[in-house]
Amino acid sequence: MRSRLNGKRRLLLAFAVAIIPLTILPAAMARTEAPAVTLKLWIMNNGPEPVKDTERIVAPFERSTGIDVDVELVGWDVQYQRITNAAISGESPDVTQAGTTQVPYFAALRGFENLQSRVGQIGGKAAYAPGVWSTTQVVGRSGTWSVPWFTEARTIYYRKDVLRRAGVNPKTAFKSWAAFTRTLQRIRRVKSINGKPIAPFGQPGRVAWDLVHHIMPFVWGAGGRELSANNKQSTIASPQAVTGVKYFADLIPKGVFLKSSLERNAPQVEEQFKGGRIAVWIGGPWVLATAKRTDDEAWDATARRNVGVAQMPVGPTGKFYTFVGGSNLMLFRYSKHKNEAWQLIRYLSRNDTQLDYARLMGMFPARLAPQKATGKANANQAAFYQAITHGRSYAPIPQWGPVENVYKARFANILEQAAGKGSKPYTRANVASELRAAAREANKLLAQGG
Amino acid sequence: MTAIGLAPRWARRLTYWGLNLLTYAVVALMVAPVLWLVASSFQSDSRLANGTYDFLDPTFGAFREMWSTVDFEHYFMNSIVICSIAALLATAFASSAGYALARFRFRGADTFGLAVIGTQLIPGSMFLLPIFLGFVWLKQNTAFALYDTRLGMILVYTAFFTPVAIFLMRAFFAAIPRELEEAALVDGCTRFGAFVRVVLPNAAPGIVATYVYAFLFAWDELLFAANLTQERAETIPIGIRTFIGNYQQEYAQLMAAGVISTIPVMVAFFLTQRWLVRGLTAGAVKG
Amino acid sequence: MSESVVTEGLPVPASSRRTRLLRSWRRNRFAYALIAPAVVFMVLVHLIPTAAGIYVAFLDLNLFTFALLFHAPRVGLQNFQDLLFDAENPIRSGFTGAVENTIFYTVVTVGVTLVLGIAIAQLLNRNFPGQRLARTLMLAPWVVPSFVVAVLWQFMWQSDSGIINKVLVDYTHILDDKPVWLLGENTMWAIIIPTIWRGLPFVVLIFLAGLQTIPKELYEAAAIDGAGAWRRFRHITLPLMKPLIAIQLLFGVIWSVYQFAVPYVMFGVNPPPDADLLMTLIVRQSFTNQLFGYGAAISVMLMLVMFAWVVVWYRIFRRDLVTA
Repeated sequence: MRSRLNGKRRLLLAFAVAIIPLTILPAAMARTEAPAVTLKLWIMNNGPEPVKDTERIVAPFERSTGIDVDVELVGWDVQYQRITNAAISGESPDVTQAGTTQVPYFAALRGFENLQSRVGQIGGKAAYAPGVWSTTQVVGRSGTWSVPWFTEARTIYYRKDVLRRAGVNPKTAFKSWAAFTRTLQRIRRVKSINGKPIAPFGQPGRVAWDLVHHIMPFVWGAGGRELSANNKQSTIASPQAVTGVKYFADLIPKGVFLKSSLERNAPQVEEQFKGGRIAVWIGGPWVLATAKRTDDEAWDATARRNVGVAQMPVGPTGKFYTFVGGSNLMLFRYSKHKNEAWQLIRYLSRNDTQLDYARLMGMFPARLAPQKATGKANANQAAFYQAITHGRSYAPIPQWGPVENVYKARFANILEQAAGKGSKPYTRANVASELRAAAREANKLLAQGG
Repeated sequence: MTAIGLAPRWARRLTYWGLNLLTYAVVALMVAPVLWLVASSFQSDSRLANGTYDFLDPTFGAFREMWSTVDFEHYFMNSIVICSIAALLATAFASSAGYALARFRFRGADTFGLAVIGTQLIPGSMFLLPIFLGFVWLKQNTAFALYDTRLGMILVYTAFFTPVAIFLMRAFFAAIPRELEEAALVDGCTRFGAFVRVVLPNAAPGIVATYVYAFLFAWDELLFAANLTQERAETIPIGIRTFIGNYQQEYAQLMAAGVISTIPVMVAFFLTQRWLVRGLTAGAVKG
Repeated sequence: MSESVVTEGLPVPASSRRTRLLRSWRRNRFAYALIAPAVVFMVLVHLIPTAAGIYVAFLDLNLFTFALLFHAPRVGLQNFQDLLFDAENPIRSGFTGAVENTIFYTVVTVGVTLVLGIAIAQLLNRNFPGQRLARTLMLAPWVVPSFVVAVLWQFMWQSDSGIINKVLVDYTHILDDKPVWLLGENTMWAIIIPTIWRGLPFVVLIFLAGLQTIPKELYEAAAIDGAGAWRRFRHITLPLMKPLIAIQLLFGVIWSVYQFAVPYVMFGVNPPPDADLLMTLIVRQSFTNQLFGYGAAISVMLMLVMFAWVVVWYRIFRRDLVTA
């Protein structure tokens, strides 16, 4: 009898000993909290030194209010999932940056504050251009779900020296779709500059988070739309849309498109332009700003000196379009310091802060007055400002995020087909069928809302 | 297979050296990518971007930059803590369960064994969302915060890697002759005492092997780490994914991150190689 | 397994049925205590969440109904119907594509790994200079974590500056044009080859251990009888290795079908159509498109297929396995 009790007791003791560390573990793993108010801010890759630049901008805010701002970089590739998880789980920072086209989707996850009552303090609707303000709204839900932070639009970058060498006049080089193609074909004859080979044009492929932003302007220029006017149906398979997508993809078999760009993502192709590997590229205003920054080592010396920007080419509709995007700031519902977080948002919305940050990032301020002022700075900036005023964005519906993903996958298929790497040959019919598949999938996603 | 036979001597020599060269070539091919990983991590980003290599001029720049670019230290520490503790717990639980399966025939033993196999057949995606929701629910309704905590990841990983560990330990225990325990029991030991004092020491190589195996698997795990962590408990795979998202063009740093991520498992592996190999093959040979 | 009757120091009494039952219950209690921790964890982390996951497959859980969670509208078998039979449903095309890809990927990966595994194990089973070093180096790929493997190979597969094309085209001139690995049809090979590379060491290890238990005398006797190398292999090696091959086959298929890290790290959550496996599809539909109902339905179907595979495998290989 005694030995049995001993055995049982020992067993229990052994298990107890095993369990004790488990109870200590949580305490051991808890981190100590900082005493003062600390706000957590999530930002994306805004420029070559995003965290440093943002910290510099918020430093005066930290000094005057005593609030500590912890800036964390969440890359564009992963921010969609991260912000989604944060919104659902309740484990979130206080404030996050979000793409303008993503705001409705994130807002639908019900993790964010309605800022309607507060935006009056920063001027409300009147302080922003209509197109910019509309990015704070969500179809079907009243309220203001974000505050615009900065605006950007994409336009054509080109190498002045390469155009000169090819004998092309920059003023007319990119006027129309036909001129665009002709220019690229003329540039093709310039095989290298300073001994380094250079290709006419390049854009990223499937792995680019912003692939749709590159191609949609051509869809618009051809008269197509991404969604129907009531945002209930996908119209990406309309004949005009097919024309637009096909124009862009045609550049590949024409031999003016650097195929290896398709394997790369957006920052990598940006580096290809900066490094002098491609002569023409479509990108946002931040690249222009980095040309002046000596800490950006990706620039090739010759490229740095010869950067020019031009308007997007006019399509069959007789108008040119570009994608206008940017980022907004969203306040999480779970934040424990909502008032302080709002103070931070207010600070970032001041006209002078807007100007400073925009200049640092190479973006445009989101607020109307500083936005206009930035547009007047020089000819290149004027070109971007034109792009902003001619810019379009997507429907502010929650399903847009997933719909954009679907379009992205199909556009990527088409580009790969055009590069000869698809499973089917590259013909207009196959492009159309790919877009029809995209439309069907998008309709399914759009139907979710009921 | 030795080339014994009635072939002439020169033919046998030729075959012998032919096969040797083939073997060397195969081994070289297997090792080459790893060497490439290391070599690339010693280049600079700009060189790699252009595809030029200079092996005679290695630089630690990529390693230095990587530590400061991304909060790699944070991911590294998380991985080490989470994986080593989870592997420890898994090995402990697997040892006791494996011993039970190896030694006792009890009601439910077969069911338990089948259930253990069954856990390997469930796709991770099946229970990812429920666990995610479970963690969130716990956080919102109880004092237990498991989402984005090391403890939460440890608990999940322990559960994941115990089943495979059970099989390994079972094979090890099955290989230990019963006479040892029976002798101890005759000498007056309790069952538990016999387990702890006689069986476990004999199974030490197996325990080490199982631990390293579980650690390797935990180190590798990606899907759950991606969704159950946010910023406090992120492990290296997430760090690498973030790196790719933000800095993909900085290949040298990415390769350096890869090297650093591999070193702990490589060290663990080579330190315990003999036992690990013996353990895995013992399991294989015994069936 | 025989029950050992141990008495803890006391002489064996005349065993009555009651005493024996008591003893066996006592013994079993110990066994139950031993398996208890593992059971607790398995129930908490595997059983309950899986049951919940299966339940989700019967719900219309998406972005808009997410707030309702398990109270989202029940749609019975609708999700399954849409995936399998609704030709109009766009999710279905992604699904059939991923199924085809996964089947191809699994067959090629497991098949090649087994064949090469045996072959390399044979090579390493000989006595040759540097044998021990070779056997150690052979294990190198297995130790590299899967996400590092994906990152490394993605870097090597770059069409213009990657080392593989450089070797194939620039250095050895085996090919004339630099193939593109990260786009188009080659993307399937871009994920297959690293998987095989990483999986080989383990298989070689197991097979090598197995080969070493085969007594040399068998081969010598066969050689004296005039059997050539191939016949010796077919009639001695292969049959004796069958149990090991069987186990590798089982787990190899399971791991291949559930492969996630390699395509995900190499291509993101939206891989090219030729490299989209079932797990990346499920994760994409569930977490990126927020179509949790579909994701769960695909998971359930996948699980059923794997159960079927285990049953089939058991039927085929039951005789070859040494059951304890």
